[in-house]
Amino acid sequence: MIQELLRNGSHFSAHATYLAEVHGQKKIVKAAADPDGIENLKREFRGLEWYTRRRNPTQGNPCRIVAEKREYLRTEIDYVEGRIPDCRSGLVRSAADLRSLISHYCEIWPKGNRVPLHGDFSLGNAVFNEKSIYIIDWEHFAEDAVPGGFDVVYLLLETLCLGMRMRSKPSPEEIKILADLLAEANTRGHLAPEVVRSPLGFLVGYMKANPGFWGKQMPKFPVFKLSGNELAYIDTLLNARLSREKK
Amino acid sequence: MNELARFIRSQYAVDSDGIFYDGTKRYWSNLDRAENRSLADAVKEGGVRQTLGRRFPHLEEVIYSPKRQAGLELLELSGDEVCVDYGCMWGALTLPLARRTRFVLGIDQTLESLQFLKARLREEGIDNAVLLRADLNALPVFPQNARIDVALVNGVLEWVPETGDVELKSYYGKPRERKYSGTPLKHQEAFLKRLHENLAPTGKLYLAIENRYDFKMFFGVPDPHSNLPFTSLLPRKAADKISQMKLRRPYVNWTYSLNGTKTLLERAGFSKVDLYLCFPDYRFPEKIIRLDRPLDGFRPTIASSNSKGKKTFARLAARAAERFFFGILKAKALAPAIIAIGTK
Repeated sequence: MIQELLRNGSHFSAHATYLAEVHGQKKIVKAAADPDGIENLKREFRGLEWYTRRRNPTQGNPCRIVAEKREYLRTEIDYVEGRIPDCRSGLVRSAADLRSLISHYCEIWPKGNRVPLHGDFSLGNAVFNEKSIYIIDWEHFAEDAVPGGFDVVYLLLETLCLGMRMRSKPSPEEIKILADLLAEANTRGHLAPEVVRSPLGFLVGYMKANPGFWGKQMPKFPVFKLSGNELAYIDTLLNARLSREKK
Repeated sequence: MNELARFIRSQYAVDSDGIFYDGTKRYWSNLDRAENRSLADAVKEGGVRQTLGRRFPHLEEVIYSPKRQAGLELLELSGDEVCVDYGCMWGALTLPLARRTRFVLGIDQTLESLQFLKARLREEGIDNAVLLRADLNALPVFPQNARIDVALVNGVLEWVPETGDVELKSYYGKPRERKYSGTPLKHQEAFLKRLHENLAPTGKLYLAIENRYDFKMFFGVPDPHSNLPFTSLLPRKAADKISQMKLRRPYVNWTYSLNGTKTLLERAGFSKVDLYLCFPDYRFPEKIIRLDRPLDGFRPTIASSNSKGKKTFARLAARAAERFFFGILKAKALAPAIIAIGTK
């Protein structure tokens, strides 16, 4: 039985998300009745399949398609208990969670020039519990779509932009944390060369060149908050740091 | 063909557009007759959505937004249901329901709205819906084998007592003497009892309606049915007096509290009624929550910007009030709207 409508067509996608109880178990139910929404849910099904296999090859997909018609799709996903951090807290306050999440990325994702895309790898899409971290909302998933580290850069840039609120420029402390966290992923070999060269500029350019992964609402994403000049300036600092560490 | 479709074919005449009819000439629409006629004529050639967007852009979202159908999941449809959309108008929920189920009968009293909906069904390739122009208060009892699995009453029950024509703009604005027989409650009960009779033994009702005690009403926001402040909150007799004074007609668009809605449905014969709170309204719900669930972590649902993207003081104030009443006070009784799922 549906307990609650959690989200209706917002958050960059055209489907509704519910909390439900099925045979005493909590489930997340998602329903879409337009081509964009249906595509999102199918991507999520494939994304969770890939993610679950990477976490534990013996475990089945926690996402099931429970109703499918010509222009309608409903899925049911196992509910994961835990804490979801506030993605608006900013880089400084979220540094510890970000570090854990990047470490989780490095454990799950393969290294390379073409790796799977989560597409909304955000603090708000990570469930932290005592045992581990669990990534949710795989609606933009695509297999072998992006250079290694793409989602990490997205995570950091989104947290930076949301945390800046009314400010137009990041603080030196924020840039330092951004560089530190990115350097950790780089040290573990998870940043592809083009990402190292220009992390933020590459991310924004790639998203603009491939809107199909993100849908119509992409221009509203927080990662587009900074100007091209600002991105280039931060990238110069990041690149210098990342290149130095590599040597 | 299912038994309900067969019954409709056997009982009603059909016009050249394929719309069945019972002879009613009544009218209810947000648009006045001339506007609605021109829209229905314009879409006959196709390009329904584009035509609507060109002529009445404010209605495009009302009719096409995928947000509107979020409540339908509460019905937990299997996909094999036979449904009736009572007061279907332009089909904001008729099409989503048809896409999820086996068959939908859309009933409305306004020919122009049904002609628009017929053009939509044709354009979007929906072939499991049939339309009937009929008086909702004079529907027959369906035969046993044509009983329905789902009855949809979305923003309609409060209009059931209004037995005259409604062109919403003039209904709000121009006082016109109207007389009614019986109380609004009597009409609503009779409508619900008939509907209940037409449900199959495991059939369900989806009822969406404004809450009589919607928190906004306490701030003098006009009642969306009479366009007068406080009429939903006041005792019915006082609301009648004000309506007679301002509009020369009694106040008939009765809405109910959470308890009142449950009682009404139980009196109509429903054995089980599940109530949900709906924010910021039932048309474009952002949050729907079962009555027995906590309102912990409630966040305002009224958009801070208007359709032109501008933040207005009224919206910010409404958000602050929402935060206060539901985030802090957890005052469920003041939720803006109610969705009730009644099981036969």
